[in-house]
Amino acid sequence: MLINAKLKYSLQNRILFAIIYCFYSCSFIKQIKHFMPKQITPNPERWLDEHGDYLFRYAMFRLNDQALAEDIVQETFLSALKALDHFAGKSSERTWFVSILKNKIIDHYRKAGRQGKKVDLSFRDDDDSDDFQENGFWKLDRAPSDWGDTPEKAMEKKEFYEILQKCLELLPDRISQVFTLRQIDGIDSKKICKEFEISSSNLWVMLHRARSQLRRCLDINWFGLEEK
Amino acid sequence: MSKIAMKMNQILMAVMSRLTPSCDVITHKISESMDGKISLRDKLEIRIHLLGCKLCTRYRDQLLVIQDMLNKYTESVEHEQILTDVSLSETARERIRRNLGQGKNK
Repeated sequence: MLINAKLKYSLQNRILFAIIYCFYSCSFIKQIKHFMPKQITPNPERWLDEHGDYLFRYAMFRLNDQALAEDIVQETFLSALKALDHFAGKSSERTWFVSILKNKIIDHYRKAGRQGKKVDLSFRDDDDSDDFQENGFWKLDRAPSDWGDTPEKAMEKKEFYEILQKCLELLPDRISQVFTLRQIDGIDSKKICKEFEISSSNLWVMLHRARSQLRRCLDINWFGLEEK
Repeated sequence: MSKIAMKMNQILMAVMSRLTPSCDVITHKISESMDGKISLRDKLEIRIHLLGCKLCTRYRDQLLVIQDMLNKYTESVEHEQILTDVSLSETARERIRRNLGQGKNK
Protein backbone atom coordinates (compact mmCIF):
# COMPACT_ATOMS: atom_id res chain seq x y z
CA MET A 1 0.00 0.00 0.00
CA LEU A 2 2.69 2.35 1.02
CA ILE A 3 4.79 1.45 -1.96
CA ASN A 4 1.85 1.95 -4.27
CA ALA A 5 1.18 5.40 -2.92
CA LYS A 6 4.80 6.35 -3.27
CA LEU A 7 4.82 5.21 -6.86
CA LYS A 8 1.71 7.19 -7.66
CA TYR A 9 3.13 10.24 -6.06
CA SER A 10 6.34 10.07 -7.98
CA LEU A 11 4.48 9.49 -11.24
CA GLN A 12 2.28 12.51 -10.68
CA ASN A 13 5.30 14.51 -9.82
CA ARG A 14 7.01 13.51 -12.97
CA ILE A 15 4.08 14.42 -15.16
CA LEU A 16 3.80 17.75 -13.44
CA PHE A 17 7.46 18.40 -13.98
CA ALA A 18 7.20 17.50 -17.60
CA ILE A 19 4.31 19.90 -18.14
CA ILE A 20 6.04 22.73 -16.36
CA TYR A 21 9.20 22.06 -18.32
CA CYS A 22 7.32 22.18 -21.59
CA PHE A 23 5.75 25.55 -20.79
CA TYR A 24 8.99 26.94 -19.59
CA SER A 25 10.99 25.88 -22.61
CA CYS A 26 8.32 27.18 -24.97
CA SER A 27 8.41 30.64 -23.47
CA PHE A 28 12.19 30.47 -23.46
CA ILE A 29 12.31 29.69 -27.17
CA LYS A 30 9.93 32.57 -27.87
CA GLN A 31 12.22 34.91 -26.04
CA ILE A 32 15.24 33.74 -28.00
CA LYS A 33 13.38 34.21 -31.26
CA HIS A 34 12.51 37.68 -30.22
CA PHE A 35 16.13 38.58 -29.68
CA MET A 36 17.42 36.92 -32.82
CA PRO A 37 18.04 39.19 -35.79
CA LYS A 38 16.05 38.63 -38.94
CA GLN A 39 17.75 36.01 -41.08
CA ILE A 40 17.34 37.62 -44.44
CA THR A 41 16.41 41.10 -45.44
CA PRO A 42 14.34 41.65 -48.54
CA ASN A 43 16.79 43.67 -50.51
CA PRO A 44 16.43 42.79 -54.18
CA GLU A 45 19.01 45.35 -55.25
CA ARG A 46 21.68 43.65 -53.22
CA TRP A 47 20.50 40.18 -54.25
CA LEU A 48 20.84 41.14 -57.86
CA ASP A 49 24.33 42.52 -57.39
CA GLU A 50 25.60 39.65 -55.29
CA HIS A 51 23.88 36.65 -56.81
CA GLY A 52 22.50 37.78 -60.15
CA ASP A 53 25.43 36.78 -62.31
CA TYR A 54 25.95 33.53 -60.47
CA LEU A 55 22.34 32.46 -60.85
CA PHE A 56 22.33 33.57 -64.46
CA ARG A 57 25.41 31.47 -65.18
CA TYR A 58 23.86 28.55 -63.39
CA ALA A 59 20.73 28.83 -65.51
CA MET A 60 22.62 29.42 -68.73
CA PHE A 61 24.67 26.33 -68.21
CA ARG A 62 21.50 24.27 -67.97
CA LEU A 63 19.14 26.03 -70.36
CA ASN A 64 21.50 27.54 -72.88
CA ASP A 65 19.00 30.22 -73.79
CA GLN A 66 19.75 33.77 -72.76
CA ALA A 67 16.25 35.24 -72.67
CA LEU A 68 14.92 32.22 -70.84
CA ALA A 69 17.73 32.27 -68.29
CA GLU A 70 17.13 35.97 -67.60
CA ASP A 71 13.43 35.34 -67.05
CA ILE A 72 14.12 32.47 -64.74
CA VAL A 73 16.54 34.48 -62.64
CA GLN A 74 13.89 37.16 -62.30
CA GLU A 75 11.25 34.63 -61.32
CA THR A 76 13.61 33.21 -58.76
CA PHE A 77 14.02 36.57 -57.06
CA LEU A 78 10.28 37.22 -57.19
CA SER A 79 9.54 33.86 -55.58
CA ALA A 80 12.21 34.54 -52.99
CA LEU A 81 10.50 37.80 -52.09
CA LYS A 82 7.21 36.01 -51.59
CA ALA A 83 8.69 33.12 -49.68
CA LEU A 84 10.91 35.08 -47.32
CA ASP A 85 9.25 33.52 -44.29
CA HIS A 86 10.21 30.05 -45.44
CA PHE A 87 13.87 30.83 -45.45
CA ALA A 88 15.03 28.85 -42.46
CA GLY A 89 18.44 30.41 -42.16
CA LYS A 90 20.00 26.96 -42.11
CA SER A 91 21.65 27.49 -45.46
CA SER A 92 23.33 30.49 -46.97
CA GLU A 93 21.37 32.94 -49.02
CA ARG A 94 22.93 31.66 -52.21
CA THR A 95 22.04 28.02 -51.61
CA TRP A 96 18.52 29.11 -50.93
CA PHE A 97 18.34 30.99 -54.22
CA VAL A 98 19.87 28.06 -56.07
CA SER A 99 17.30 25.67 -54.67
CA ILE A 100 14.50 27.96 -55.84
CA LEU A 101 16.19 28.28 -59.22
CA LYS A 102 16.45 24.51 -59.57
CA ASN A 103 12.73 24.14 -59.02
CA LYS A 104 12.05 26.87 -61.55
CA ILE A 105 14.14 25.03 -64.12
CA ILE A 106 12.29 21.77 -63.51
CA ASP A 107 9.00 23.67 -63.79
CA HIS A 108 10.14 25.03 -67.10
CA TYR A 109 11.04 21.57 -68.40
CA ARG A 110 7.65 20.28 -67.38
CA LYS A 111 5.83 23.15 -69.07
CA ALA A 112 7.88 22.65 -72.23
CA GLY A 113 6.87 19.00 -72.17
CA ARG A 114 3.19 19.85 -71.81
CA GLN A 115 3.24 22.30 -74.68
CA GLY A 116 3.74 19.48 -77.09
CA LYS A 117 7.46 19.82 -77.41
CA LYS A 118 7.64 16.33 -76.06
CA VAL A 119 9.90 14.51 -78.46
CA ASP A 120 12.72 12.09 -78.38
CA LEU A 121 11.01 9.28 -76.59
CA SER A 122 11.27 7.47 -79.87
CA PHE A 123 14.98 8.31 -80.05
CA ARG A 124 15.25 8.66 -83.74
CA ASP A 125 18.69 9.64 -85.01
CA ASP A 126 21.96 8.15 -84.03
CA ASP A 127 20.50 5.13 -82.41
CA ASP A 128 23.19 3.34 -80.48
CA SER A 129 22.22 0.08 -82.14
CA ASP A 130 24.41 1.47 -84.92
CA ASP A 131 27.36 0.80 -82.67
CA PHE A 132 26.80 -2.92 -82.71
CA GLN A 133 26.81 -5.73 -85.21
CA GLU A 134 23.79 -7.94 -85.63
CA ASN A 135 25.16 -10.49 -83.21
CA GLY A 136 25.39 -7.81 -80.51
CA PHE A 137 29.14 -7.24 -80.59
CA TRP A 138 30.84 -3.93 -81.25
CA LYS A 139 31.27 -2.74 -84.80
CA LEU A 140 34.99 -2.26 -85.07
CA ASP A 141 34.85 1.22 -86.54
CA ARG A 142 32.45 2.45 -83.86
CA ALA A 143 33.97 0.75 -80.87
CA PRO A 144 35.43 2.87 -78.07
CA SER A 145 38.93 3.97 -79.00
CA ASP A 146 41.80 3.91 -76.57
CA TRP A 147 41.88 7.16 -74.61
CA GLY A 148 45.12 6.23 -72.96
CA ASP A 149 46.13 8.61 -70.22
CA THR A 150 44.81 11.70 -72.01
CA PRO A 151 41.67 12.18 -69.89
CA GLU A 152 43.65 13.78 -67.08
CA LYS A 153 45.55 16.00 -69.48
CA ALA A 154 42.34 16.94 -71.27
CA MET A 155 40.71 18.10 -68.08
CA GLU A 156 43.36 20.76 -67.67
CA LYS A 157 42.63 22.31 -71.02
CA LYS A 158 40.05 24.99 -71.57
CA GLU A 159 39.28 23.91 -75.14
CA PHE A 160 38.29 20.52 -73.90
CA TYR A 161 35.44 21.97 -71.88
CA GLU A 162 34.22 23.86 -74.91
CA ILE A 163 33.93 20.56 -76.70
CA LEU A 164 32.27 18.96 -73.72
CA GLN A 165 29.73 21.78 -73.67
CA LYS A 166 29.12 21.39 -77.41
CA CYS A 167 28.62 17.66 -77.01
CA LEU A 168 26.12 18.29 -74.23
CA GLU A 169 24.29 20.73 -76.48
CA LEU A 170 24.15 18.17 -79.26
CA LEU A 171 22.08 15.80 -77.16
CA PRO A 172 18.37 15.86 -78.00
CA ASP A 173 16.56 18.35 -75.71
CA ARG A 174 14.61 15.96 -73.60
CA ILE A 175 17.52 13.63 -73.10
CA SER A 176 19.91 16.37 -72.13
CA GLN A 177 17.41 17.78 -69.63
CA VAL A 178 16.93 14.44 -67.95
CA PHE A 179 20.65 13.77 -68.00
CA THR A 180 21.55 17.15 -66.50
CA LEU A 181 19.01 16.78 -63.73
CA ARG A 182 20.08 13.30 -62.83
CA GLN A 183 23.81 13.44 -63.36
CA ILE A 184 24.73 17.00 -62.59
CA ASP A 185 22.08 18.12 -60.14
CA GLY A 186 21.74 14.67 -58.60
CA ILE A 187 17.97 14.82 -58.43
CA ASP A 188 16.17 11.68 -57.37
CA SER A 189 15.15 9.52 -60.31
CA LYS A 190 11.64 9.02 -58.95
CA LYS A 191 11.12 12.76 -58.92
CA ILE A 192 12.38 13.08 -62.48
CA CYS A 193 10.01 10.34 -63.65
CA LYS A 194 7.13 12.13 -62.00
CA GLU A 195 7.94 15.56 -63.41
CA PHE A 196 8.55 14.30 -66.93
CA GLU A 197 5.72 11.79 -66.80
CA ILE A 198 7.87 8.93 -67.99
CA SER A 199 8.36 5.41 -66.73
CA SER A 200 11.54 4.47 -64.94
CA SER A 201 12.62 2.20 -67.77
CA ASN A 202 12.17 5.13 -70.11
CA LEU A 203 14.44 7.13 -67.87
CA TRP A 204 17.13 4.44 -67.89
CA VAL A 205 17.05 4.31 -71.68
CA MET A 206 17.31 8.08 -71.93
CA LEU A 207 20.22 8.22 -69.53
CA HIS A 208 21.97 5.42 -71.34
CA ARG A 209 21.44 7.17 -74.64
CA ALA A 210 22.87 10.37 -73.20
CA ARG A 211 25.98 8.65 -71.88
CA SER A 212 26.55 6.73 -75.09
CA GLN A 213 26.19 9.76 -77.30
CA LEU A 214 28.34 11.91 -75.07
CA ARG A 215 31.03 9.26 -75.04
CA ARG A 216 30.94 8.91 -78.78
CA CYS A 217 30.97 12.65 -79.33
CA LEU A 218 34.06 13.06 -77.15
CA ASP A 219 35.64 10.03 -78.76
CA ILE A 220 35.32 11.58 -82.20
CA ASN A 221 35.85 15.26 -81.42
CA TRP A 222 38.58 15.16 -78.84
CA PHE A 223 40.32 11.89 -78.34
CA GLY A 224 40.12 10.85 -81.96
CA LEU A 225 41.81 14.07 -83.01
CA GLU A 226 44.64 13.84 -80.54
CA GLU A 227 45.81 10.52 -81.85
CA LYS A 228 46.12 11.74 -85.39
CA MET B 1 55.29 -22.17 -71.78
CA SER B 2 53.98 -18.95 -70.34
CA LYS B 3 52.89 -17.95 -73.82
CA ILE B 4 50.69 -21.00 -74.06
CA ALA B 5 49.24 -20.29 -70.64
CA MET B 6 48.50 -16.75 -71.67
CA LYS B 7 46.85 -17.91 -74.86
CA MET B 8 44.76 -20.42 -72.90
CA ASN B 9 43.79 -17.69 -70.50
CA GLN B 10 42.74 -15.43 -73.34
CA ILE B 11 40.62 -18.14 -74.91
CA LEU B 12 39.03 -18.94 -71.57
CA MET B 13 38.18 -15.27 -71.01
CA ALA B 14 36.76 -14.97 -74.50
CA VAL B 15 34.56 -17.99 -73.88
CA MET B 16 33.46 -16.55 -70.57
CA SER B 17 32.49 -13.27 -72.15
CA ARG B 18 30.53 -15.14 -74.81
CA LEU B 19 28.56 -16.91 -72.12
CA THR B 20 27.26 -13.58 -70.83
CA PRO B 21 24.84 -11.41 -72.82
CA SER B 22 26.38 -9.61 -75.80
CA CYS B 23 28.04 -6.19 -75.70
CA ASP B 24 24.94 -4.16 -76.57
CA VAL B 25 23.08 -5.60 -73.60
CA ILE B 26 26.08 -5.26 -71.30
CA THR B 27 26.58 -1.59 -72.20
CA HIS B 28 23.00 -0.93 -71.15
CA LYS B 29 23.64 -2.68 -67.87
CA ILE B 30 26.87 -0.78 -67.31
CA SER B 31 25.00 2.45 -67.82
CA GLU B 32 22.33 1.35 -65.37
CA SER B 33 24.97 0.47 -62.82
CA MET B 34 26.10 4.11 -62.89
CA ASP B 35 22.69 5.03 -61.52
CA GLY B 36 22.93 2.71 -58.61
CA LYS B 37 20.44 -0.05 -58.36
CA ILE B 38 21.20 -3.16 -60.35
CA SER B 39 20.72 -6.76 -59.38
CA LEU B 40 23.53 -8.96 -58.14
CA ARG B 41 23.10 -11.12 -61.20
CA ASP B 42 23.64 -8.15 -63.51
CA LYS B 43 26.68 -7.13 -61.54
CA LEU B 44 28.14 -10.60 -61.91
CA GLU B 45 27.39 -10.69 -65.61
CA ILE B 46 29.12 -7.35 -66.08
CA ARG B 47 32.15 -8.53 -64.12
CA ILE B 48 32.46 -11.74 -66.09
CA HIS B 49 31.89 -10.03 -69.41
CA LEU B 50 34.50 -7.38 -68.70
CA LEU B 51 37.09 -10.04 -67.93
CA GLY B 52 37.10 -11.08 -71.54
CA CYS B 53 35.87 -8.02 -73.41
CA LYS B 54 38.37 -5.24 -73.88
CA LEU B 55 36.00 -2.91 -75.70
CA CYS B 56 33.32 -3.01 -73.03
CA THR B 57 35.97 -2.44 -70.36
CA ARG B 58 37.01 0.64 -72.27
CA TYR B 59 33.40 1.69 -72.53
CA ARG B 60 32.93 1.36 -68.78
CA ASP B 61 36.12 3.25 -67.99
CA GLN B 62 35.20 6.03 -70.36
CA LEU B 63 31.77 6.45 -68.83
CA LEU B 64 33.44 6.79 -65.44
CA VAL B 65 35.87 9.35 -66.83
CA ILE B 66 33.01 11.33 -68.35
CA GLN B 67 31.16 11.32 -65.07
CA ASP B 68 34.26 12.64 -63.38
CA MET B 69 34.73 15.31 -66.05
CA LEU B 70 31.16 16.48 -65.75
CA ASN B 71 31.50 16.84 -62.02
CA LYS B 72 34.69 18.86 -62.40
CA TYR B 73 33.12 20.91 -65.17
CA THR B 74 30.04 21.87 -63.17
CA GLU B 75 32.18 22.60 -60.15
CA SER B 76 34.35 24.99 -62.08
CA VAL B 77 31.31 26.63 -63.65
CA GLU B 78 29.87 27.16 -60.23
CA HIS B 79 33.11 28.40 -58.76
CA GLU B 80 33.36 30.86 -61.60
CA GLN B 81 36.60 29.54 -63.04
CA ILE B 82 35.21 29.17 -66.53
CA LEU B 83 32.33 30.78 -68.39
CA THR B 84 33.25 33.97 -66.59
CA ASP B 85 32.24 36.01 -69.62
CA VAL B 86 28.64 34.91 -69.14
CA SER B 87 26.85 37.51 -67.11
CA LEU B 88 23.57 39.38 -66.99
CA SER B 89 23.37 42.13 -69.57
CA GLU B 90 22.73 45.68 -68.38
CA THR B 91 19.27 45.79 -69.94
CA ALA B 92 18.24 42.52 -68.31
CA ARG B 93 19.59 43.73 -65.00
CA GLU B 94 17.59 46.92 -65.32
CA ARG B 95 14.42 45.02 -66.21
CA ILE B 96 14.76 42.62 -63.32
CA ARG B 97 15.41 45.49 -60.94
CA ARG B 98 12.28 47.25 -62.12
CA ASN B 99 10.12 44.16 -61.86
CA LEU B 100 11.48 43.32 -58.45
CA GLY B 101 10.66 46.82 -57.29
CA GLN B 102 7.07 46.27 -58.33
CA GLY B 103 6.96 42.87 -56.70
CA LYS B 104 8.19 44.35 -53.45
CA ASN B 105 5.55 47.03 -53.35
CA LYS B 106 2.69 44.59 -53.79
